[in-house]
Amino acid sequence: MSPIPASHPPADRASFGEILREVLKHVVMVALLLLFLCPLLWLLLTAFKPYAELFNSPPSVLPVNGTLANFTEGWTVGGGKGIGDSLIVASLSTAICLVLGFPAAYALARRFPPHGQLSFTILSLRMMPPIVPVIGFYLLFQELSLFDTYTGLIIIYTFMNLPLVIWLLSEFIRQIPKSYEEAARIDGAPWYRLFWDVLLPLSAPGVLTAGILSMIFAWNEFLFALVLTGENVITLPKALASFFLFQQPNWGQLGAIGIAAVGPLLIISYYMQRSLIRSFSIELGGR
Amino acid sequence: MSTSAATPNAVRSSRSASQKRQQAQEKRATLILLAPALLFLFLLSIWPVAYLLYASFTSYQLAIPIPTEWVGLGNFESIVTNPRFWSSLSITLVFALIAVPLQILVGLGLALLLNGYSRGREIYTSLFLIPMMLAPIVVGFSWNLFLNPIYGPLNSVLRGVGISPPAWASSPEWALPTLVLVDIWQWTPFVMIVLLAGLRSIPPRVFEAAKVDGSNRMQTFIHIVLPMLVPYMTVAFVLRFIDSFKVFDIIYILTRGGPGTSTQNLAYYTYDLGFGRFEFGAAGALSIIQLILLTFGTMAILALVKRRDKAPASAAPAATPRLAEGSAA
Repeated sequence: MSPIPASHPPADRASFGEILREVLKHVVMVALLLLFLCPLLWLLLTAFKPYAELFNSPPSVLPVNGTLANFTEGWTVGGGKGIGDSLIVASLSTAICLVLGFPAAYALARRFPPHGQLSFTILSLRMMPPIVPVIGFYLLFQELSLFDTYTGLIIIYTFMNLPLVIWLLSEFIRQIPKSYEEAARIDGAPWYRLFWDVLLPLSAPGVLTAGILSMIFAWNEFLFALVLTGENVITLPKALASFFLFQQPNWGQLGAIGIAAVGPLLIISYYMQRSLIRSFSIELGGR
Repeated sequence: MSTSAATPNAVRSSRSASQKRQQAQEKRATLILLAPALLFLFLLSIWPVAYLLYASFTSYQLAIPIPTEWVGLGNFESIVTNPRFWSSLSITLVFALIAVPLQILVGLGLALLLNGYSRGREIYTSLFLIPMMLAPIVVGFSWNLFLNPIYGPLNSVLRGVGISPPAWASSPEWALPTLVLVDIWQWTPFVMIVLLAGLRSIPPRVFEAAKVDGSNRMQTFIHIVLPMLVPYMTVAFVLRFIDSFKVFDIIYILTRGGPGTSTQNLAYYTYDLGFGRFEFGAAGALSIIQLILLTFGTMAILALVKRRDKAPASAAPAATPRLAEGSAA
């Protein structure tokens, strides 16, 4: 538990006591993690319980007659539509974010000082709680007939994620040595070639990080979807919420849809952890 | 560049001319690169605010076919004189001022703990990060199930060890602490990862030097580690504080602002005014008020942070070279 980074000299002769301590350390950590993730694990277990077992009191921890029916039923009662709509809205808005954001990020990274007025103004858009503009968007969408359309929600999610995408990408591009561009310029490449053939391949990991984050935020967003769409577009969080509020919740199906909704994200999270730490270090190191 | 020009003067002038041309070209390129994104962001932030302003100065009510009238500052007056506004403002602030410091404290503990693991640290860290990747809606109903009074597991366990469990989200005293608990569960991982990045950034030779000078673990922690983490804690605090004004989803799922109005923060109050009662004028005014509060709040916080950063004992030695490089571009 020391704050000091454990330095491990090559253990030539680890004593029995040291091994025991090491094992104990990991046992403590696994126990702590199980405790911490308890609410989510409970949801996971519930997803495999048949309806009859859902309302037992006191509840049984493991499903007695495990079933996969919740997943198939959950898909047909709204989970499938939710996943489909969320995929459409999240992926298209992310694509637009990257197309709009990458050139802007490059311009910011190379031609403006870091944390200057412009970068700050762009980033500060992200600090605004969504509840503040949502009423304005609602009135605007009624006027432009964008209410309850995919186009409308895609525009909103692009607006929501673009500032973050620009900021992340410009921080990333700043880390690329300028010598690549200078070499290309000396070879006589015009600026757009330099951009497409030199910078884009070099910043692929940054584009991936920004893209995944933007996907996750759009995938998880609820308030805009709640207010700006009706019966036509039903994203996953909205499907889950309506499911929950208008009927006696069938926790098994809810759990199944919920687990299906977060599963892909959890697989990504291992990769995300490294790049997240890296982008925080970049940001903080530059202050 | 022309090589036929023999005199040095001619070379110089043609060089500067081509440089000027190149500069103009670069400027145009910058504009072309920035314009689409900036135009998009500008339009989408100005347009809704225009509608908000329009709504907030009129008696606009959706679904009621009375003619819309100009009411001046009437909506703002009715918001500011309404005790519900002040109670939702104080609930928002209380929520932030309880949840965020606890997140920093628990996050610091977790970061220190994880930093002590050389083997398995990455996998443990990514497992701790799970809650913050989840949709808040999913977090909300996981906890709703987890805390269910009849078939939820936590109450059974509490009863098992002889504690009579509270009514959690449905009791007026426990509803807000329940939401705080859920927010801490979801967002402590964020603080943890920021502080972990801070811990990893401390060079090992700092600890070696401290050890040579005879400082023990506690002293090293208080006099070296903690001060070096302060900038990271500040960033985590500011980001979490601003984000806690956005809390809406878990309230929607767990309490719907109730019981009564005991968990109605500014976000939920605005939603309720606009889409519960369709009083768009009042809701618009409330949105504008929040916009103003937040703008000044954020500016004040950032000014404070900046002043601290200017202190000579800043823990960011990398700042100077990078700023210099940036402004030379």
